Amino acid sequence: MSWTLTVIIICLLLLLLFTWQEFSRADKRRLIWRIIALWLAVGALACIILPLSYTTQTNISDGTKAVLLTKGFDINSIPAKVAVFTIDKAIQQKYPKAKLIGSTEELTYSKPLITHLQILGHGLNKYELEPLSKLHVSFNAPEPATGYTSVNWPAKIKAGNIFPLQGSYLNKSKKPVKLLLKGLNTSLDSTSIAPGTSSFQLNTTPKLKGPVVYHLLALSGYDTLSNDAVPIQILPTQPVKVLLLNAAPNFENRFLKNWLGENGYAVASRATISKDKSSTEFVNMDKLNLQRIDAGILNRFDLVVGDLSTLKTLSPAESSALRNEVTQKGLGVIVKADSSDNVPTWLQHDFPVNTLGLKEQPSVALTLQGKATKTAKLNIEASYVSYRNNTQTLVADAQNHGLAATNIAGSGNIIFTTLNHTYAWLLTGNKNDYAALWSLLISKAAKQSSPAYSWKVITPVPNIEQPVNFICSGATSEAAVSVNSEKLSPFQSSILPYQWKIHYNTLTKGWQQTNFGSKGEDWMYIYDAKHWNGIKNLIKINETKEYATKSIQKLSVTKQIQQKTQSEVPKVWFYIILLLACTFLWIERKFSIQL
Amino acid sequence: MRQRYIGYQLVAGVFVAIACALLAGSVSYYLLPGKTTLAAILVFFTVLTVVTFIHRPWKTSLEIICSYLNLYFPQLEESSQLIIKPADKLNLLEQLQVIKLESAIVKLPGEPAIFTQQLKKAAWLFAAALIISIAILKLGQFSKIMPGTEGVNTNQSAQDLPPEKILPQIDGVLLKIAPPAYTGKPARTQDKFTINAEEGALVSWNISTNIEVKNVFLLFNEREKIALNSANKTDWQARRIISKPGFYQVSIDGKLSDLYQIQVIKDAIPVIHIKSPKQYTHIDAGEAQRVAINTTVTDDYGINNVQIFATIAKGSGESVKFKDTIFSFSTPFSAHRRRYDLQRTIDLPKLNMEPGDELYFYIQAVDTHQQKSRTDVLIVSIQDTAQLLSMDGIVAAANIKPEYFRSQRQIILDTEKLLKEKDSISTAAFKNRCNELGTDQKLLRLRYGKFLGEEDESGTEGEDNEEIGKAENFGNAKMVMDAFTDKHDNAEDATFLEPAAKSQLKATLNEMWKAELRLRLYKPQDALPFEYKALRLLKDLQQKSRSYVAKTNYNPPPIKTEKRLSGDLSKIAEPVNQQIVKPATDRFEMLKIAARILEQSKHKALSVADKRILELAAQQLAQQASTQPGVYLKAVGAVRRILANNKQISVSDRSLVEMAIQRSLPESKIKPSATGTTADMGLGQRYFNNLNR
Repeated sequence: MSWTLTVIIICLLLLLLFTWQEFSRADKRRLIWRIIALWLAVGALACIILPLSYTTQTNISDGTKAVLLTKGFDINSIPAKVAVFTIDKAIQQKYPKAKLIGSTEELTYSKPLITHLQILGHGLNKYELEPLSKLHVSFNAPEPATGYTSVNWPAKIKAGNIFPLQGSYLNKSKKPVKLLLKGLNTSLDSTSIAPGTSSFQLNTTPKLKGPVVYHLLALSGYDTLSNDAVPIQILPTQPVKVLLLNAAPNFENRFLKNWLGENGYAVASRATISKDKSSTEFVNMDKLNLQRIDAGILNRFDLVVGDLSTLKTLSPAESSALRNEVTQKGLGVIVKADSSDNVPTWLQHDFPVNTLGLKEQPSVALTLQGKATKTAKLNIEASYVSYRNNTQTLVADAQNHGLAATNIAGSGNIIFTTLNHTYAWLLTGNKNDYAALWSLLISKAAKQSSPAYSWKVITPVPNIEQPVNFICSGATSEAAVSVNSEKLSPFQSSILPYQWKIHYNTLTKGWQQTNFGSKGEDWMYIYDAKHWNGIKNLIKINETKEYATKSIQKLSVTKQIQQKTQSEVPKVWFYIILLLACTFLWIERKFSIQL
Repeated sequence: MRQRYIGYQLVAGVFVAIACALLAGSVSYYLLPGKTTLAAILVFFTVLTVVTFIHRPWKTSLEIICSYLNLYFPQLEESSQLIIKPADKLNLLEQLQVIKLESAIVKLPGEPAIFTQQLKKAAWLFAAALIISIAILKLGQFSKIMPGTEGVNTNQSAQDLPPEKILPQIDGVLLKIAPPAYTGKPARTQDKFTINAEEGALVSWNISTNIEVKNVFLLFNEREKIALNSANKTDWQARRIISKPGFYQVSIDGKLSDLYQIQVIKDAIPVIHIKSPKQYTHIDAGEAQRVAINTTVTDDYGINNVQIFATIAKGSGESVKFKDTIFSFSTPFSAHRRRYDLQRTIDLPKLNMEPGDELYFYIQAVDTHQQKSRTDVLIVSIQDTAQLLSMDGIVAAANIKPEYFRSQRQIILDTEKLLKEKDSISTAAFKNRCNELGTDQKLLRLRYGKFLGEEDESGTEGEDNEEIGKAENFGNAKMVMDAFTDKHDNAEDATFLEPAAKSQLKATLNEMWKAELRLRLYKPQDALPFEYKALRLLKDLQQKSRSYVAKTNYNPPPIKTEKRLSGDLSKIAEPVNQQIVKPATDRFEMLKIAARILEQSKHKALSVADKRILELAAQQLAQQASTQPGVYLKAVGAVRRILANNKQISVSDRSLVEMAIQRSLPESKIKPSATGTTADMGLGQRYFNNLNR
C-alpha cells in the first residue's frame, strides 16, 4: 500500500512541478494543449507503475482448457495449443513451456479463465485438489510402474512378538526382484518376487524396543530399486495379574506360577490340600484371603486360571461373582479340563471335549495360532476340544484336533484347554515353546487394558512437504496435545467427545515425540520425501481419480454460467498514451522554435 | 622415399623392442619383484640397439630403394635408378627415359608393400607380446589369491588388514612376539600394532618417536595401563604376556591412538582317534584273548605323552574286584611331533584275566601345553563259558527241547576233549573223531533246519521209493507227489516260529554250518568259536521263548466313604507363602537406546544426553570387544569417532555400530500381555451395559 501511495505522491509532485514550469514558460500559445499532454503523460506513467484493474462478469463457457502437469507425466500426452501449468519446479525445468504457479488455487482466478483442467501424471494430493472445486477436472491415470502396490505392517507391536510386513509388489522387469528387510544395517528377512504381481510377507522378531526404523529394500541384481523406511514402535509388555485356582497342588500350576513370577507378573495361587484346607501362594503381590472368592478379589486380577473341577465346585455366590466379573467387567478365564463329572456349566458349555480311547499319551507337535512353525513334541492327553461355530481354536495338533479354544463370554474371554503337562517343556529346557504357548493363551484371555490415550496417524505416508492429519483419543475430555513439546490446537470431533483431530505441519524428519497432556509419550514418524514413492503415487492417482469423477458429477448438476473476475487493463495502452503525449510535447517545442 | 622407408624400419624396431620389454617385464615381475620397470627399460634399449644394428636402416641406399620400386611398379620400366643419377652423366636415351619416368613417378599409387611389410610383422609381434604379458600378470594375481582364500597362513590375513592409523609422534614400531615354549615356534617381529599371538606369548613393544616425548603407555581394554620405559625419550620399550584377546591403545603424552586388536591363538587340545578296538568288544570263548589298540593322536603344536588307563573288573555280583593299571605305548614321545600313529596289543591272560572278566580302558593324551584329553571308556569282555555251559536255566525251564541244546553243548565238550587228547592219539584217530563231530554238528543243524522248513537231507529217500514201489500204491498220486517234490513252503513250518526267532535260528544254523566246516577240515580249534556262538544263540532263543508273569499287586481293603475326609483339621494351619521376584534388569538397555539415538541422528544433531548414552553403549561394546575383538573392535572405534566428531556422522560409522548392536543383543523373549482397547472414556463399556439391560 505504501508503494502505491509513494507512487501517487511522486506523480502529483511531478505534475505540480511540470505545470508550474509550463506556466512560467515564455511561449504560451498552446498552453492548454501542453498541460493536457503533460497530465496524460504523468498519469500514464503512474498507471504503468501501478496496474489498473476492474471487475467484470465472465461467462463460464468462455473459459478455456488448461493442462496441469504433475510428476510422472508423459510429454507426448500434452495437447497442443493449451495453456500448461505446473506446481512443481522440477517439471518446469524439464518442460519450460509449462508455467510455474505457487499453488493450485492460482488456477481458479487466472486469466484467461480456466474452466476445464486436465491433470496429467500421478495427480495431486487431496489438499491440493480441494481449491479446484469450481473447475471441471479430468484425469487420465498413468500405467502403474514397477514397485509396491500395497504394503502394510502394524505400527506397534509388543516386545517378543513377530513383526510381520505384508504387501504386494508389481515387477514389470524380466528379472526377479529381491525384497530385503533390514534392521540396524543387518538383513533380517528376504524374499524374491518373480516377474508379475505377487504378494509377500517378511517376518522378524525385533530385538530392540521403543521406536525403531527398519528398511525395506527392493534389489534387482546389484541395483537398489528402492529403499523405504518401515517405522514401528516396540512396546514393553504390561504384566498381567493372574489368579490360579486348583483342586490339588500340581506341577503344571507350580511351573506356571514360577514362570509368571520370574517375569515380574503378579500371581496368586490357591490349591486345595485337604477338606476346607488350601495352600495359598502369592508372588509379586500382597497377601489376600482367598478362602472365599468374591467380586472384590476377582477385581484385582486380569485372569483366572483354574481346573474345571475347582471352578465347578465353587459355591453359588462365588460362581455368580465370577460370572459377573467375566461377562460385565471383562475378566478372562482359562479353564483346564480334567476328568470331573459331566455337569454342564457355563464355562464348559461351548467346548465339547472328545476323548479318544488311546492307551498311551500321544506325543505331538503343536500348532499355535499365528505361528508358522510348530512347537517341539509334547505328551498330551488324547482329549480334544471340538470346534463350534462361535469358538476359535488357539492350539491344535497335526490332525487339527483342538487342544485349546476360546470364546467370548460377555465382555470377557474364556479359554478351554485340555493341555495339562506343558511343564514337560520346561523340564527339557524348552523355554521358548512354553513361553509361546502361555503367552498366546494368557494374552488372548486376559482382561483388556484401557489406555489413557491413543494415537492414529491418518495421512498414509506423512512427509515434510505435506501436512499430517492424525486423530488422538483420550480418556478425558480435555486435550493438551503437543508434538516435540510444541503445543498444538486440536479440533474436537462433534460426534465422539474423546476424539481430537490434529492438522500438523512438520519441519523435521524422523521420529517425532508426541504427548497427550502429561499422560505419556508416543511417537510419530515423518518420512523422507523419497520414501514409498510408488505407494504415494498410487494414493495420488486414486485421490485424483476419485476427485475427477466427483467433479464431473457435481458440475453437471450445478452449472454456474457466470463468474465475477478481476481483469487488469493491459499496460500497453498506457505506454502508447505516454509516448503520444511526450511526442506531442517534443514536436510542439521543435515547431515553436522554428517559427 | 628413402626417409620414409628408414622411418618404417625404425618404428618396426621400436615395436619389436617394446614387445620384448613387455615380456621381460612380466616375467621379471615374478623373478625380481620391485624391479619390473628397470628390467623392462633395459631390455627395451638392448633389443632396440640390436635390431637397429642388424637392419642398419640408415645404410639403406637410394639404389636399394630404386630396385624395390622397380620390382613393384612396372610403369617405372626397370629404370628408376636413372633419376638418381646426376643429369650430366646421362646419355640421350637415358635423358629421354628420365623425362618419361618423371611423369610416371608422379602417378605412382603409393609405396611398395615391402616398405610396410616389416612394420606389420613387428606390430603383430607387439600385439602378441601384449596379450601374453597381460595373461601372465592375470595368472599371477590369480595364483597369488589362491593361498589367501584357503586361509592357511594367518600372517597373510593380518597383512591384508587396512593400514593402521598411528599417532603422528610415532616414527616406527617393532613388535617382537615370542611364542611360548610349548609351541616350539621361533620369535617373530612385525611393524604393526595389531597382534595375533599364541596364548601365553610374550610381546615386547619397541616404539620410536620422532620427537622427544614425556610419557608413553599402553592401555589395554580401557583399564590396564602399562608404562613404556625409555633411556633417551625417543625409544620406548615394554613387554607383556598375552593370554586373553582384547584390544589396546597407545598413549603418547595423553593422546590416545586408534584401537588395535589383540587376537589370541588358543592351543587346541589333542585329538585322539581310535581305529580299533570298537567301543564294546566281546571275546568269545575260543578266540584269541588279546586286544589290539590302534590309535592316531594329533595336536596343533606337539604331543607330550599318550597313555592307556585300564581297569580290570574281576568276578561278578558282590564279589567284583577292580584293579587299575597304566599302559604306555612303545613309541617315544620325546620328539613332540604333531601326529603319532600308535599301536599296542594287550594280552589279557597276562593281566590274570579269566572268562567273565572285563577290561575298561581309555586313552589319555597330553600336549606340550600340558592340556589333557581323553577318550570315552572302551570295554573288552571275555565270554564266561562256565555260565554258558551250566544247565541252570535249562533245568528250571519247562521241557523246552532240551535235547537239542544238550547236543550242541555236547559237541563243544567233545571238541575240547579232542583238543586236549590231540597229542596222545594218532592222527587217523584224531581225524576220525573230528569227522564224527562234524557229522554230529550236521545232524544237529539239519534238525533245527526242519523248523525253518529247510530241505531234509537225512537221506531216507530209499525207503520212500520202496513204498512207492508197492503195488497197492500204484496210481496213488498223492504219494508220488509226496515223494518227488520239495516241500519248502510247508504252511505249518512257516508259522512254527515267530519271525524274530526264525531269523535268530537261521543265524544259529549259520554258525553251526561254519563249525561243521572247520570240523570237517580237521581244525577243531577253529571250530570252537563258532560252536560257542551257536550255543549262545540257542540259549538266547530258549530264554526268549519263556513267558514272564508279573507279581500280583497288593489289594488294599475297601475305603469307608463315610469316614473319608472326616478328620478334625481345625488345628492345622493353612500354608501361606509369599515371595517377591524382582525381574532381572535388562543388561542391554543402553544399547537399545543407543540404536534409537543413532537412528534419530540421521535427522538431527546429537544432544549432550544422547552422547552420554552413546558413551555408555561404547563401554558395553568395548566389553564385548575385549572378548571378541575381531567382531566388535571396529564398532568401538566407530562409536568413538561418532562421539569425537560434532558434525555429521558418517554413514559407514553408523552402520558399523548398528550392526554391532544388532549382533550383541539377545533375542527378545515373548511374554504374555493384555491387549488394549481404544481410549474412549468408557463409551464402549457403557454401550455394552446398555445393550445387556
